Amino acid sequence: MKRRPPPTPRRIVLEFLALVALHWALLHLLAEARVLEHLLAPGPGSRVALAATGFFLLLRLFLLVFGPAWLLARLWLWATRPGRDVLPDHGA
Amino acid sequence: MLPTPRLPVPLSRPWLRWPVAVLLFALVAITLPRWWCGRDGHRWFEGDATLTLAHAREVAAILERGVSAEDFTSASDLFRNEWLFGSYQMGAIALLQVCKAHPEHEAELMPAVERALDELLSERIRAFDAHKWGEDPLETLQTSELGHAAYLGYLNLALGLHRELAPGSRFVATHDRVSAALARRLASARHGLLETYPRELYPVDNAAVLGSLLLHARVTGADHSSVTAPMLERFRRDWRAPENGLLFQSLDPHDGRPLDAPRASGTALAAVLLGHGEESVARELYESARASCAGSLFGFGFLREYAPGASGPGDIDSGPLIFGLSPSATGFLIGPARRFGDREQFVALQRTAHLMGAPVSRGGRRGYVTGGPLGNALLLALSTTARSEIPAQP
Repeated sequence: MKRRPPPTPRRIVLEFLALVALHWALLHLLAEARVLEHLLAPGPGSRVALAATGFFLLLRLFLLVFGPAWLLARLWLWATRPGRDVLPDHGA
Repeated sequence: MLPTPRLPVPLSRPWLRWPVAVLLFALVAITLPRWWCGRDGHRWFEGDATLTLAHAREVAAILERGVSAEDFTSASDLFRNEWLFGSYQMGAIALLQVCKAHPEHEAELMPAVERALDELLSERIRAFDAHKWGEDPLETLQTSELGHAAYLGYLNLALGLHRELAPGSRFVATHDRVSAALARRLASARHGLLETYPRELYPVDNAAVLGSLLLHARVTGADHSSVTAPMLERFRRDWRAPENGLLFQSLDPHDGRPLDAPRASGTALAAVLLGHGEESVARELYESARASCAGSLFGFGFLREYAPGASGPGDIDSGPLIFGLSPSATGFLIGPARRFGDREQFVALQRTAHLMGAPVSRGGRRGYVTGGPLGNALLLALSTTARSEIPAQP
């Protein structure tokens, strides 16, 4: 089986930025809805709002709490990947 | 061609590479979110005018636009209308606190406050209470002895705070009439508490009644001490669990015994409401809630609904419990934490509010995405709670 190549720093950063953009878009989308009421007292029409809010809050939790650490850890793992025992400034 | 310099240590070795990655992850995850989500908390605590005004403009816009029961999703008509009432009541209180702290913005915000007070007094808003009692709470102020604790107590708090800033306003007479009715009813109340609805007795709603009477006394010089002093003493002695100081959520209207467990959401909200009128018992309630139920994870504060060793379900008061944590109680504690100058607790709770509330700025206004009319009004009211300088009651 062909081994998947490790992601490049560019891809790592782009993936992170894509999540930031998705969070930003959802933030502004949900700002138009009134979602607290769905969370505190779900009604008959709350299913979609609850799902969207749940997804948004999980994404926000990940991005704000774990996102930066995840980004840095991935960049570290890239910089220290096997066969890469050189200073990053000089290229591999 | 220059030789490629090698790092002093072979960092690609798994025994070093992975532990460093985990350590890096943990260090950043523990420190960075704490700092990032706590920035607004410190600004709120300091009373930052820019932040406060941006949120106040959002709440004012919501109140000016108008709120209706259809804005809420609960299947219960009563809860929808209570939240409608709560949106105007908390919105008015929040903006009045902002006006008091930043008088230069009073002219801008006061119209929204008075719009909210007009709504609170309207037949449309008070209909939920009239329906439950079978009589109108305002038309029967002088003739009825029934409780109406929630509608009249919360309304009276907003009227009292407004009177502090506008002592000659058109709401003054209503404030006096509601206060007189509450004091008279309390004097003859069985168990020393007013019922919220027929055969429903909640100490937390009576904290609004008591806070509003103490506020009325402070603003007007009226003497309600014959009812407020014994009631304060009973808040201190009778209506809280002796083992942890938490307020009982509901009492049996027949014998006055607890019907429900002592809970954090009622205790924290009572500290908020009572704090408008006095400091001593409100501080005790705050400290009980904090000592028994507060916790923190990586600097993000929360409140459990039940004290350690107790458990129970969540409800409309606590919000849905997640691992026993109450969203309502967590939010309510923000107010007394600021009132009593507890910066560490305040900022920890604000971190959680920032994380889960998701504030967003648009067009000079700033609101919480997960807030809606009630959540935004509540969080502004709690985040701008005035530091109390009221002398302790005997």
